[in-house]
Amino acid sequence: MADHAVPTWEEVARDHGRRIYNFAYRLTGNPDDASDLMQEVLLRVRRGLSGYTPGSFEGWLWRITRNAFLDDVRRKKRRPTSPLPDDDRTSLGSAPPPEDVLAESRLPEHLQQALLALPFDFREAVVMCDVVGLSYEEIAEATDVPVGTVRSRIHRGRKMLKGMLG
Amino acid sequence: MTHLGDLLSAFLDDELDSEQRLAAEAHLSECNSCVAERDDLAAVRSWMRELPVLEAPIPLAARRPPRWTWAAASVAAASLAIGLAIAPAQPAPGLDVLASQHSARVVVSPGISAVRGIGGAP
Amino acid sequence: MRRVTLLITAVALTLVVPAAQAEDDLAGYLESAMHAEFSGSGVVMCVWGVDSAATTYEITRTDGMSMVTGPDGEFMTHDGMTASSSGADWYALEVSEWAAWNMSDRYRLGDPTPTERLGRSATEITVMEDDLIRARIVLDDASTVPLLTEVYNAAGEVFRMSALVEFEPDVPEMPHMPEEYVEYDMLMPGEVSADLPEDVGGYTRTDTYGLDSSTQSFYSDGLFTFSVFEAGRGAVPTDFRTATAFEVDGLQYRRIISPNNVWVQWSSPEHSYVLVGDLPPDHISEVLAGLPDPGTRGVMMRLIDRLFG
Repeated sequence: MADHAVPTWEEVARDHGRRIYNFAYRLTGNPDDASDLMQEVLLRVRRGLSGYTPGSFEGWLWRITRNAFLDDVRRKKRRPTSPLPDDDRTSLGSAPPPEDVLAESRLPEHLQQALLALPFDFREAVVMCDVVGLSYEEIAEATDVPVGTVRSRIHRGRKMLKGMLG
Repeated sequence: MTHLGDLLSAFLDDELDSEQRLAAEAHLSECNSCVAERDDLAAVRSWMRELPVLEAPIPLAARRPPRWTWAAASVAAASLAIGLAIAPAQPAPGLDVLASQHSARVVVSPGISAVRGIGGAP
Repeated sequence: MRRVTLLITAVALTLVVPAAQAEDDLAGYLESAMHAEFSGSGVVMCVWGVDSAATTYEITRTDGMSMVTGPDGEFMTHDGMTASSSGADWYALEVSEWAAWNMSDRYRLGDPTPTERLGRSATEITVMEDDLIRARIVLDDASTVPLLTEVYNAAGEVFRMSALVEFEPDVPEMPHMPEEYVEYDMLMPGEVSADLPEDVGGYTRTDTYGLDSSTQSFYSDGLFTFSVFEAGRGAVPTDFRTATAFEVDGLQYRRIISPNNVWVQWSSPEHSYVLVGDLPPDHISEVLAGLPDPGTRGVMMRLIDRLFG
């Protein structure tokens, strides 16, 4: 990034566009939704940049991304594949047949399916950690919960994924 | 002995401070069930981190075009959120240029005329 | 015809609905008109003193897109993007939803009156501005499309009239869209010009756009809108050479009328200004009074420019 404190939109689009897209894709499982979400996030980032005070840019960016996703869900009245509140579900959702799962070429597909079966909060936390590469602190800032909750959600999300994939 | 629970995930993600890390390592040297759980978590974590990175399909920002043309409907629908314009190069743009710029903004506001933009320039 | 209208609206005055509800209803009418689907042809005309301009047009609107064809070519809008085939440039705007819109509380809705137009059942509404009838709108009942709009000046004379002459509520097919995809620049609302007020004449500035060495500030009162372009002092569009001179508060301006807009030009010591909008003349006077005054930099400065410029 350039040396001014507030990144320009071009810099954000170039550096973060792909990450936003991958975040959105892993969160929704749908390339059209992912590119819509990416467009929406970039739009909000552009609008927000003039009001942005330098701090944790990453946290700010991912907070916008997450809010855009939730706004989109509300607007389209679509549930993010499972209820939002944190709860200890262990439902398998649409888990793939066990013998298929670990066949290496199919793993990404099965993993994506399993991700979509997770409760939203868990899925979001795992994706932010492992796909986007955010720290627990950054995830906490983006999702407005304490770090301990982030850790718990990541842990339970991973355990559920393992349970589904074998 | 209490098991590590979600500290295991934090351990794998390098989110423990040095004191917590040492304590966790000590526990792992003695607790097979936590070791097994750690291995499970490590497997999932590496599957997640090895997911292919996808290329974003939408072109981002570009240079000015000489005349307008239009995206196919599906692409246009996806890019509606993005603002576009051309800055006029002339120091004293003709009124048709200003009319276009004004109309571009007007059309997103409702108004009392059914017709927006037509007859914009003298 | 106008006298009868005035009589009807005078009666409507006494039946005015409560202000808050009236505002919502007017906003509701305008918003549904914005999304209606139809095709037709019409005429739009503007009159100010001895200046007038008129044009015919054809319009097709469907699925969030509208195409208007006039004598100068085509003008198309699609969910916030606009394009014109008559010129080399095209413009669109950054909006994810329709832009935020606030109706000024100086407007009230007169009681709707059933009527007929183009052989269709319609509703006539009047927009009151304090005690003045500012606009009359006839809306098709089935589609909510405005079939006729009349805007009045402070003397109650028609300032602008826009009427559909042919109207078809079912659109047989989408307007033709070009198929090539071209890369484009993006323009964002940005830095505000220090010289222009946030509020003027009852209008509020909603956006400002910077374009090379000039800025465009967009104002709205929820019913009418205008843009003020501020540029360096030399940048006067040549179209104004034959413009009509007029005065506001003893200060000189020039104006050109087009069917949908009035164009006003003046220069301050620092800048050249062009104002363009569909607001009526008495609003224009109030707005101009609140914007930077016309003026020159004085004989001494002009001499210096001449010698050393």
